[in-house]
Amino acid sequence: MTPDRRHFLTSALALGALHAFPGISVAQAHRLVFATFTGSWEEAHRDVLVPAFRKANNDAEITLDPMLSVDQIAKVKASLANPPIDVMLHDPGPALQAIDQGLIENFPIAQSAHYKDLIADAQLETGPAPFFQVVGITYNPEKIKTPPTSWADIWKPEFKGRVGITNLNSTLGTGWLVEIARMRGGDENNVDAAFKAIEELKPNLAAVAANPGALATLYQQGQIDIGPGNFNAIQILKARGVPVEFVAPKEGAIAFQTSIHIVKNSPNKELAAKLIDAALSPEVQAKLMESPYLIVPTNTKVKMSGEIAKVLAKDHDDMKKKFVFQNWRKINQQRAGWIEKFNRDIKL
Amino acid sequence: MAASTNIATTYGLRLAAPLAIFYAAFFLAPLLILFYVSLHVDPEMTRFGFTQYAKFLFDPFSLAVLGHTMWIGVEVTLLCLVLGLPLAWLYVRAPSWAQSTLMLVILLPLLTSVVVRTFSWIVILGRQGIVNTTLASLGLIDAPLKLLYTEAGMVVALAQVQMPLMVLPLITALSKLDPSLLDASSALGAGEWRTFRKVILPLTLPGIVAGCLLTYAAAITAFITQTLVGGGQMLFMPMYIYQQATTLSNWPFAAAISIIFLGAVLVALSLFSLLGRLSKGYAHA
Amino acid sequence: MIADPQLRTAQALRIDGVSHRFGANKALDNVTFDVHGGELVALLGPSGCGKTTLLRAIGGFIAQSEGQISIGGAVVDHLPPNKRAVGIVFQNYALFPHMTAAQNIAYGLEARGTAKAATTARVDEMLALVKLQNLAGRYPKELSGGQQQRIALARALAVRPAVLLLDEPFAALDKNLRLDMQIEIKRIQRLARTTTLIVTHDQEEALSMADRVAVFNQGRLEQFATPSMVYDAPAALFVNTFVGAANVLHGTIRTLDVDFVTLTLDGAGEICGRMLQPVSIGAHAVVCIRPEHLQRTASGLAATIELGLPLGSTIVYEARLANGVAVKISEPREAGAEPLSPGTPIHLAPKGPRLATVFPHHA
Repeated sequence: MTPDRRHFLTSALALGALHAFPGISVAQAHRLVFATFTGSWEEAHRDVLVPAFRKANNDAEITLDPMLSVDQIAKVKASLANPPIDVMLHDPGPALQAIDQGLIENFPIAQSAHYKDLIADAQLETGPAPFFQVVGITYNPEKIKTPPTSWADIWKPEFKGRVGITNLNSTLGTGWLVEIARMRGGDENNVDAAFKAIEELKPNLAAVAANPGALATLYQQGQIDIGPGNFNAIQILKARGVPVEFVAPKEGAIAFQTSIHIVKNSPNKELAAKLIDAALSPEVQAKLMESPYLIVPTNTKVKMSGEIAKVLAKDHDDMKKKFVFQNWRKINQQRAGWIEKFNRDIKL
Repeated sequence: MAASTNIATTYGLRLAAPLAIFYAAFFLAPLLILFYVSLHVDPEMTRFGFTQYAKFLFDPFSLAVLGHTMWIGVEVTLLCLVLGLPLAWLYVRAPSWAQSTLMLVILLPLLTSVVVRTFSWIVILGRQGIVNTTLASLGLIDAPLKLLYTEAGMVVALAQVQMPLMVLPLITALSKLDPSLLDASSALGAGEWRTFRKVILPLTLPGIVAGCLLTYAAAITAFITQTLVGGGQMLFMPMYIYQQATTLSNWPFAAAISIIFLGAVLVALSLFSLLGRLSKGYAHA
Repeated sequence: MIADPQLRTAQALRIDGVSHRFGANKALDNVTFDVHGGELVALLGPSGCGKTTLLRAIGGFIAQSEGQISIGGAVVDHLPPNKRAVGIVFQNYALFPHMTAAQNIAYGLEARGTAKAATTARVDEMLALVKLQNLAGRYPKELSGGQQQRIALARALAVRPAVLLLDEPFAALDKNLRLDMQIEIKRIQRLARTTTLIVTHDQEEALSMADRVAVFNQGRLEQFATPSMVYDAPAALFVNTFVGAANVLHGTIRTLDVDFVTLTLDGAGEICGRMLQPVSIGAHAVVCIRPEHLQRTASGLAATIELGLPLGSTIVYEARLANGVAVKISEPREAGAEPLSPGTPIHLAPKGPRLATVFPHHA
C-alpha cells in the first residue's frame, strides 16, 4: 500500500470538484462495486470472498475496485447522491471518519445470518468487522535468538541501532503509540508517556519508516531486526523466505477491526448486505484463515487452526484475553496533534 | 508582410489550441480548485478564510520543513551537476559506437520505474547492502555504516534518480560547443581548469541552467524517493502535504501547503533562471 | 624553454622524420624539413595530403607516431599545447564568442599570468598592429570575417609565440578581401618577425606569400623550395601538375644524355627535356611543359589550333597534336594582335630544354 502521487491527486481533485461544482453527479445504476484494499487483501477477496458471494447469490455481478481508505472516502464524498462504490473496507480510523461524515448506512443486523455469531468486538452496527488485523512484535530469529516477550524488550540495550518503527501516518504506528502509552501508565487520552518512551528508544532506533510496507522492506534488507509489525505483513515476508517471526507480547497484541460498510445512497443495498454477510460467514472466514491468507477470523463458529492458532490465539476466548482493542474515536480526535508532535520531536 | 504574419499567427494559435485546452482542463482547472480548497478555515470546508496560510507562514516548524526541502533540492542539484558534467563531457567526446551505449546508460534511470530505482537504492544502502558489504570486506569498517534513512543517502539516491534531467541538457549544450575553441584556449597557454572556467562553463551556461532547473524541481517533489530512502522521521513538503491530506483529511491545510510550496518553487526557479540570464549577459553567447 | 618572451620570435622550427598514422592510413610519411627563424612557409597540398595533420602535430594536439619536432632547438614532443609557445589561427578563427575583441586578445596573456597593466598595453599594441583599435569592445559576431581574422591573428601573436600556425586562413573570406588579408598578414608577419606556417590548398596563396613552399601529397613532402623553384623546377610530377598549369604528354625515352633525354611522343613527334630522376632508354615517361613555356616554331610538334582566347596581355590557345592530345599554349599579345583562327596548322616546341621536365611514368 505504497501511497503515490496519483492517488493523492485523484482524491484531491474529486474533493475539490465536489465543492466547486456541487451539482456534478449524475444518477446511474451499476453493478455492485466493492472497494477493497490493494495487495494481499485484494487477492484474498478475489479468490475466496467473491466466489462465495456469487455462488450464494445467483452469480450476481460484482467489481473489485482496490484503493486506499482515503480514496474510498474521497470518491464517495465527491458523489454522495450516486456513489460509485457500494461497499467500503476501512481501518478503524478512516471508518470513524466515514461514519462521522455520513457516508455509510447501518448494517441491517436483523437480516444477517452471521452477525450474531461474531465476537463482541466485531459487532458494530455501522458495519461489522469480518477480520481483525493484529500488531505484535516482529523480529529476525537469525539475529535474535531469545524471542522477545514484551513491548519493553524493544528498549533493551542489546538492540542498539536494530529497531524499526513507522511514523503516525499509519494505523500501525498510531496504534502502537497508544499501546506504548498504556504500558507506561497512559491511555488514549494521554500519550505523553509514549512520546517520552520513544525519546528513550532513540539509541535503538535504526529507522522510522514512512509506512508499514517500507518497514517490512527493512527486515528484508537486514536494516532492522526488531519492532512492531502487522501479523499479515509478516506472514507475507515469511512466505518469501525472509527470516522474520511474529510474537504476541504479554501485554497483548494490538487488534484493529477491519470493518466493512454499506455506502449511503447505494443503489445495490441488498446485494451489499449479502456481500457483507458472506464475509462474516464461517465458510469464508475459515478459508481465509488458511495459508496463504492467514486472516484472523471474527466469527466464533470458526475453529482456530494453523499458524493463527499457534501464534495468536487457540480459540475466541483466548483471543478476547490476548487481543487489546483501542478506542479509535478518542484517537481520531487527537491524532492531528500527535502527528504534529511526532513531526516536530522525533528527529534521529 | 503584415497579412502573411497574421496568417502564420492564426495557424500557430490554432495548432496550439489542443495543447492549450489540455493545459486548461488538466492543469489550470485543478490548480484553481486546489486554491479554492485552500481558502477554507475548517477541514469540513464550511467557512472561508486565509487561516491555513497564516497557520503555515507563522509556524517556525512548517517554515523549517519548507526551508529544508528547498535546501535538499540545492544539494541534489549540485551533486547532479558535479557528477553530470563529466558524464556529459565523456559522452560528447566518446566515439559514436560508445555514444549509443553511454546514452542507454544515461537514459536507463528514465526507462525504469521510480519505485524500482528507489528500491534498488534501499538494497544498495542497507546495512547488508553493497556499500556496507564492500567496505566491510575491504576491512575499512567494523560495523555497518548507517546510510539508509540518512539525509546523505537520500541526496545520493535522489541525484541518481534525477541524473538524466541534468545530463541531457548538458549534452545538448556541450555538443554545440565548437571543439576548436578548446584547442584555441589550449594553444593560448590555458590549462584545462582555465579552459573549463573561462570557455566551457560560460558557453554551456544555458544548458547548465536548464539542467539545474529540471533537477531541482524534480528533486524537491520526489515523494517516493524522499519517503522510501529518507524515511519517516524526515519530513519534507511532499510528505507533509500527503500527511495532512490523506492521514488527517485536512484538505484545506494540505491545499494551502501545496500552494505555498508551488509558490516557493516558482520563486526559486525564477531566481535561478535570472541568475543564469545575468551571467549569460556577461557570457554573451 | 626560453625564459625571455622577447627571444621567442624568430625561432627555428625543425620537423625531423615525422610520420603519423590514423589506423592503417598514413597521414604523414617521414616528413623532414627545417624552417628558419622569421621565415614564412606555406604547407601546400590538396585536402587529405597531411598538411593539417602536421599543423596539429606542431601545435601539440596530436602526438605523431614517429619523428621529432623541435622549436628553437628544443624538442617539444612531450609538451602539451599550452606549453609549446605555438600560436594558432584556426580556419574558423575560433574566437571566444562570449568575449570582446580585446578580451580575446588578452586571453593568452592572462593565462600566462601577465600583469594587468602589461596586458592592457599589449592588447592595445596588438589592436594597433591589426588596425582595429576602434573595435576593441565588439563581440566576434559583431565583426566582419576579415576583422575576425585579424583579431584571431592579434590574439595568437599577443603572447609572442615562437611559431605561428595559420590553418587555411583565407578559406572563409571572399575573393576581394582575400588579397587584402594576404598582404596584411604578410605585413604583420614581417613586423612581428614570427616564424610562420600557413596551411593552404591554394597554390597562388602559397606562391605569393611564402618565403618557401612545402608541397605535400599523400602524406609525403614532395618538394620544399622557394616559390620560384617550385614553379620553375618542380621536383615531382605531382608538384608540376598541382602548382601552376602543365601540359602532360606521354612517350618513350629514345636517347639519354647526362641531364637531358629525348622522348618519342606516342604518334606526335619528338621532344627534348630535362630529366630529374634516372630513367632508362625505352622506358615509358611523361613530359610536363607549362603553357607559357611552349612557343610556335617553324619545326617541332605538328598541331592544329582549335581555339584562341585573347586574355588582355596574353593569348591562350588550345591546340590538338597529331595524336589527338590537346595542349595549351600561352603567349604574350602585341597591341592590336588577333588570335589565329581555328584550323590553322602550327608547330610547337619548348622555349628551352630546361623548361620541359621528364618524369618516369609508372603505369
